[in-house]
Amino acid sequence: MNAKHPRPTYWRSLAELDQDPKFQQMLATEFPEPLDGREMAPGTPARRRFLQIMGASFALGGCRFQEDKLLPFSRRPEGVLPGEPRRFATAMELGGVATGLVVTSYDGRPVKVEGSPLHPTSGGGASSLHQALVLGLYDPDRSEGITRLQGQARVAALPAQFEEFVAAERPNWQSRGSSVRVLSSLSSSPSLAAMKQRFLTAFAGAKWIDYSAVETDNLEAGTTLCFGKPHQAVYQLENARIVLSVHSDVASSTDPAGIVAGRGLARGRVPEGQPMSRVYAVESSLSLIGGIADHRLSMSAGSAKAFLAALDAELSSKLGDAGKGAQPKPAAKFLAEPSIAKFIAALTQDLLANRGAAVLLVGSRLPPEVQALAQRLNVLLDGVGRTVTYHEVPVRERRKDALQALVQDIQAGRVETLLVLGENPVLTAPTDLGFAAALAKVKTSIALSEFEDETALLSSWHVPLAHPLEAWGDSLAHDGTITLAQPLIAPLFGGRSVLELLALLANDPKRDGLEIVRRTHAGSLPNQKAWDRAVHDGFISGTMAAPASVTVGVLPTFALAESELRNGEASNGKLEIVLAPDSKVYDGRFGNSSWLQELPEPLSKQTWGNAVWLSPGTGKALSIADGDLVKVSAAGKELTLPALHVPGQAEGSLRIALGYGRYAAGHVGGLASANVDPVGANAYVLSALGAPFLLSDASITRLDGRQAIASVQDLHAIDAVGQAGIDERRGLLLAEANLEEFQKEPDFAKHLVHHPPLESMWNDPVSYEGHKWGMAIDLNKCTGCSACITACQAENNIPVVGKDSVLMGREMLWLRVDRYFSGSPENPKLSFQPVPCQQCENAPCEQVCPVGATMHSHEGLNDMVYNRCIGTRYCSANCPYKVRRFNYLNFHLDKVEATPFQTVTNKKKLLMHMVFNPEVTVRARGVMEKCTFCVQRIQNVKIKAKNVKRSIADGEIKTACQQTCPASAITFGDLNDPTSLVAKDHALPRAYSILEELNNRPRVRYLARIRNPHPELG
Amino acid sequence: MATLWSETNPYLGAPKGDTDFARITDNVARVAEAAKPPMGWYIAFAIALTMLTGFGASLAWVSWTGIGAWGNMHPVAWGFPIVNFVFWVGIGHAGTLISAILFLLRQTWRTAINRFAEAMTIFAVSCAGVFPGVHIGRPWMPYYMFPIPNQMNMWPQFRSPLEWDIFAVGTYFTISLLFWFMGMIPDFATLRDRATTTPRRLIYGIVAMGWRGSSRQWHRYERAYLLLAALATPLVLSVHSVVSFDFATSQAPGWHTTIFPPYFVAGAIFGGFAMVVTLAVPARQFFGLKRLIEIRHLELMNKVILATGMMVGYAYGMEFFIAWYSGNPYEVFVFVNRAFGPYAWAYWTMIACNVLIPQLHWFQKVRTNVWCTLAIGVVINVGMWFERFVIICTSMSRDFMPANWGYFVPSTIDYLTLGGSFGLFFTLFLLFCRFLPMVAIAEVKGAHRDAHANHGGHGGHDHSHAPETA
Amino acid sequence: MGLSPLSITTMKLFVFPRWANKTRQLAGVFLGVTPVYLTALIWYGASPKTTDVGYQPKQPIPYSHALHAGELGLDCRYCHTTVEETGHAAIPPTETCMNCHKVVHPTSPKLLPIRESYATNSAVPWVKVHDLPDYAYFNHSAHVTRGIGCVSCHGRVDQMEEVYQHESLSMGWCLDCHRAPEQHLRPVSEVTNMSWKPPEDQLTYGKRLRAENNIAPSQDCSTCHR
Repeated sequence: MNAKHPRPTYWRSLAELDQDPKFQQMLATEFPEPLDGREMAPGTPARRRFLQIMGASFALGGCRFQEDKLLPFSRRPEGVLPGEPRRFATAMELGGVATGLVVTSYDGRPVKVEGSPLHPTSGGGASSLHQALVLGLYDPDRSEGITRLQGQARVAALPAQFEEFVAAERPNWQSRGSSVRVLSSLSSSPSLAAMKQRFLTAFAGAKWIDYSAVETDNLEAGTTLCFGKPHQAVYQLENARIVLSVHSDVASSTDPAGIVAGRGLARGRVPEGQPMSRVYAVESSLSLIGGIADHRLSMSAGSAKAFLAALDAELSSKLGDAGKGAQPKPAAKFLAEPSIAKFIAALTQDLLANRGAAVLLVGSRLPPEVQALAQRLNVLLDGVGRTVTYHEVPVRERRKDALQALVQDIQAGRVETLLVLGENPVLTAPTDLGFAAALAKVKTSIALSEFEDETALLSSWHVPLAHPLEAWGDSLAHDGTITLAQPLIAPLFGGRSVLELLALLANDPKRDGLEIVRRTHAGSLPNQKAWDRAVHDGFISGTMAAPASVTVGVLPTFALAESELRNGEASNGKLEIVLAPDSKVYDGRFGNSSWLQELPEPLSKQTWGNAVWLSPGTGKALSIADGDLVKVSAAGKELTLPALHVPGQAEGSLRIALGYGRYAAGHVGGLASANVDPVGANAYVLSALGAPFLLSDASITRLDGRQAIASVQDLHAIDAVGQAGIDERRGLLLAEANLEEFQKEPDFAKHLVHHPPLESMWNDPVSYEGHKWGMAIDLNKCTGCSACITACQAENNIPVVGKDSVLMGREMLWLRVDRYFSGSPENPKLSFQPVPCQQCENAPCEQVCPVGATMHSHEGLNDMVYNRCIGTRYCSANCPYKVRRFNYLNFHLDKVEATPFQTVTNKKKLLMHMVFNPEVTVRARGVMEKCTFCVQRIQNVKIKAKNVKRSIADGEIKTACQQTCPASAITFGDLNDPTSLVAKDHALPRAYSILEELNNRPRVRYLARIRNPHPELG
Repeated sequence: MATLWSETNPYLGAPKGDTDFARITDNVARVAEAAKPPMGWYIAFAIALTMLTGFGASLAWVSWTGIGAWGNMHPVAWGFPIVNFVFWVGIGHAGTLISAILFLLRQTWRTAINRFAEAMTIFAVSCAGVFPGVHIGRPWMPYYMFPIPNQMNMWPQFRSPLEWDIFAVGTYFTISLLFWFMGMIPDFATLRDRATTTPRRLIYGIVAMGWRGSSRQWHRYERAYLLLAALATPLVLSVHSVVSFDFATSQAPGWHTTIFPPYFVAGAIFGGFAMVVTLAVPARQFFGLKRLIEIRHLELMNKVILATGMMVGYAYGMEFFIAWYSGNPYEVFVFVNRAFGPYAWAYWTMIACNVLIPQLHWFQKVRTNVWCTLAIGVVINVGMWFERFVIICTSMSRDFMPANWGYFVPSTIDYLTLGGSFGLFFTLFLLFCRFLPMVAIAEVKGAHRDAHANHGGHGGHDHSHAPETA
Repeated sequence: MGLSPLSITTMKLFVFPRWANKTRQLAGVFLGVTPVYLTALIWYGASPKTTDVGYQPKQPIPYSHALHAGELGLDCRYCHTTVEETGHAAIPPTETCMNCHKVVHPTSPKLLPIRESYATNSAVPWVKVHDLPDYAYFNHSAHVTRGIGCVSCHGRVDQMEEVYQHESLSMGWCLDCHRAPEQHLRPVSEVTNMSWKPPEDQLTYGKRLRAENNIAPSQDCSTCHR
């Protein structure tokens, strides 16, 4: 596990490419096509293609035996086996929280990210954002070098020039340190903290501002109110019998601790044996935890304070002495509504009955008062040490004040030098702050970012930031564990990490990331052995933050504004708008990742863009239909984007995802300089410094015109006939029951469909001796977070098709997560169902393929042979699960602008091919593909085991989806081994297979969804 | 214009008196011998050729970009191409039926139209034959479907109905071609003998294969004709049954039905006859063959259309009944969805064209009016195309799992390909009208009463009822 | 066929001389034979046996397996070290060559590229001889550790001055062995022995080895295609 790996041979060629003047010029002059394949829309052929056709006729020279070269190392490094994957522990920090990862690398080329099983918080799980990390690494739009602003134009500069400039400027900074400002990405990195000190001492008087577009410090403020000192809360949801979520989106990829939360929740949702948890959710929009919830209450976000105050009053009165200093019962009319009153009553009862096993989660963007109330109740309910632990965090200036002060200083001309480290405030800062204008005023502004983004374009210097997989670093996990990040590859575009840049500016004797990080931990990791161990594990064991004991102070009585007493008023001028980070592009930083753009949003199933979520009821009241183009306005700011009806959205509450509408993201996310339209609309324009995420008194008006929403489910409005059909069969596909029903009839799921005894025309093609691979998916654990989808895409080289093709229903994702609503549209029950290929034993696809391109293996897999497939699509027609995907166009090659006769026309874009997993064939146009149960993983483990004549242990083979699932809802293994997890799951009474009446005998079984409602809410 | 042609026919002059052998030969042969075909032919040919070019262009574009150029999508993986395939295969049937089955049944009136019908069969099957090849994702390797030796030691999979199609359609095409060509040999000889220029004599001479009309040749001719007819007859039933297996043997609701084979065959004959009248009416107008293709013949065909049309209507109804009777929610849904779902428009077009409008043929006035016959023929062709569209697209667009549902929208290229296939068909057909004997001269004579007046040596036909020629 | 008097008189009608009758029989023969001939032509002409076997590209360095593996008797695994543990039988790094050639022919002009590569730490661009398509996943370790000798697929490399492709490497060729591995099985200790002879009849011996080591080569598609 030594430090830097040798730069593999073929990188050298790319490096040469980078210096090649012709290539540089081509980069400058090329006018590339959008990456999302929109030029491929049928009937609208791009002019370029016709030229290609012309060109092709000349290119038809004649085919010779293609000569391949073998380029061995000159000196093969220790322990390197050419072509063999190697795995390294590293980490990714998001919102100041680190997630421990393990990255698989082939010949020095990282291709797959997974959660680190060793790591205390990630425990093997990873979110879509982590999974998509590798694609970002090979993004051809990443900035290739330092640029500086000359007049209006940006010109390239050599690193040497930049270093000269720094050397020249340094004395000024030292003399006038008070004119230096650093806007740094919110981070918990000890090394960065140390570097910050060096920097601030080197340039006395300089100011440092922590910045995050979506992570607030409201919890710190709230805990200060409540405990007197700022604290961080760490939840142990697995210990909770009762979970109340108030507008929280834990388990989502946007929550830095989402993976921990997802796992914790899932552990409490096992109906067999142990008692099952009960989850209550109060929220303005559907969320993943709302989907898990046994009881869900739609309520506008504005009324959260009133709701918690009421709950506080209710509980405290019951708690007697313990509950001193409670809030008075707020005078909010809506609390008296029977449904809500009933809900609060049941909730109170449950919480009190489960003291010590109850926990309240509130949205991290809710105001400090709400945070304070929630933590107060957590303490009153004896949660401390059981369902929640606190640890102290240093007292810091409120971030938004610091940001405001910065802009004021700039306006007052007190700032000459501004560093922006890995953030994009020009896009993400509240508009009323006028950051862009301020930035222009600064004499020297240095933007360190992966892309030449909105901020970089306006800065006098732009320095490429090293990708997380290219740099050394460290940061704290959710529980405070120090997590180390090691590079898997030398910076492709000569990027620098934040540490390295600061070291250069502060003239730190140590300039190399590795040395800097080692210096930080010299104390805890004195010798090489300890260091190697920590790097191998990816974290320093035993550094978990010590739990602090807290005492609840008496909270003041919180005033409630008129808008905070409102709930469900669907009338213009009284609406509320909730702005939330997007589960795919987060705060916008992943806007250029085509995997994430095409990932269906877990709840709306929308790809490629954002929309205004509103409830069908509100839609009716304001006569706004699905897909209508609307104008939302609040506090004089406006935004135009399509409307989307989402069941379960609180009446009178609108939700818009942040992070879209970028004009300098890249060829995927939007690039004005290349006439690539932005994906979605930029909701930051609505946010204000005072109210960054929740805007009250908003309005929405319908504009003429509609905009198609590229959703992968219910793409077309469902008519009455269709709706009837859906209602009829939902219950047949998704087995659901309440806990007591389940306990009465544990195998209810097996009796959903009544059918005659099943007999097949065919004899079993094979007798499954040896292995018999199977999968089980626990619908009770699945949170719908969709990490599995991206994991599958990364593992299996699944192409991105682009918005137009998604609109035509040609998405390629092998694994879908179907989303069903039941109950009333106002307050629906939400169910998820991941659907991979069911690997039927009596497979309809196999019988109809005229060329035998999909055949039954002796281990029960439906082998899909791409090179035999001629694309009759009969298999897809005959697949009742429709899990087969067809390459209608040359999705992969078109991305790199290749043609049938010319492999690559745009070498830069060829970089994207580096992300391919060499263990999986890359499919070209015209062939069918589908989930293979990650057969490449199966085969490789089998070969390795047989080489040394040993048997395969259960769990040794993990499919990509199973591996990444934070909730471990997916089990995979050998059904012939009765002790294997999957065999046990298949044997469970609530295991069932979908459409089994067709006698396909699927190898995937689902474990029925069990809800645990409160008897009185039922 | 059409009437104009019939009045002053450049080849025949004004029609006069009774039709004798010489006149029959003249009527037919002269069309092929004429120096210049009528202007109408040129116009029609120009149009057909343009459409054919569109066909080529669309297919070239598809093979360049991938079949994504069509509207096919997930879940409707089979769109227009397969619809067109089934449609054209269906058209072919009437030809074989008329030439083979009616021959065996001694329906002498067939002689007026069988050449037409056979030609139509060949051309329709050629059109159909294009689609399986081009609709696949990798059109450059359809040979994987043929059982030829290869270094991979791989067979095609004979369990697959698509594989059965290869053989069914292949056989059908071969037999039809032989049947058609053999039937033309004596007429080729006639043309050869009447030929005035050497090239004509050469070409017709070669295809006539040295026919001299000796009684021995006639004898063998009749035998062979009889044998081929017997061979072709089961094919009429088998081909479309096999094509229907593509759907019937699959699991998809709306496809998984045992009624498909008879239902497809009936539909094929229905559509085929409609196409024959659609072609025969203009042809007899333009080329003055009214004396040979008589109203009586058209009327008889209309009766067949009426009968088969009602069979098809019965099948439509029966599908619904069985779906309801089976109690299978998915089956029931598919049919309700057809009639009242997003594709209701296509379904009701089909019903109107195939079930309702043909009922007009109950009235003799309509049956015997060429223009009504033509109009209804065209309508039925539209309807039969929609039948295939309804079966394929509406069933696939909403199958078992709602999460997969979609709505198929054809692309421009789709329409171009569809129109283009008609271009191919009419181009071939117009060439046939121009250069080959449109009516089976020998057979017509054989069926002619004069043939029996002077106990015609040739013609192993039933002599009892000779056609009344007005 | 003989012609009746009538036909002779009417002969003038026909543009074709009498011998033309023969053409029909000829045509018959032609139509019968051509397809068979074409199939055979393609079957043999286009098969990898014809197109690939014997492929012997020019290598950057005239490295002689005959000398090293043959005369000097180096074991294959001296250079192809990874063959028993990984999918690839890795081409040796320049280091390996230099182990000897630091002292053996240290100045030979033929070895210049080697020394350059060693000095500049750059790769020697060997040309791939046995080139499977990318969709076929062959794993050396899986075969070598089961007792399939190098020679079975690569031929007598120890007698090749410059390596050429000895087998067709076609799918059918793979299947032949996967269906009856006994034709090629040998003791694992002997895999790199180019001149190994079975102690008894190969088939019976192979069958025994197969039973002993429980060799069950799979013919599933996913064994090689993923």
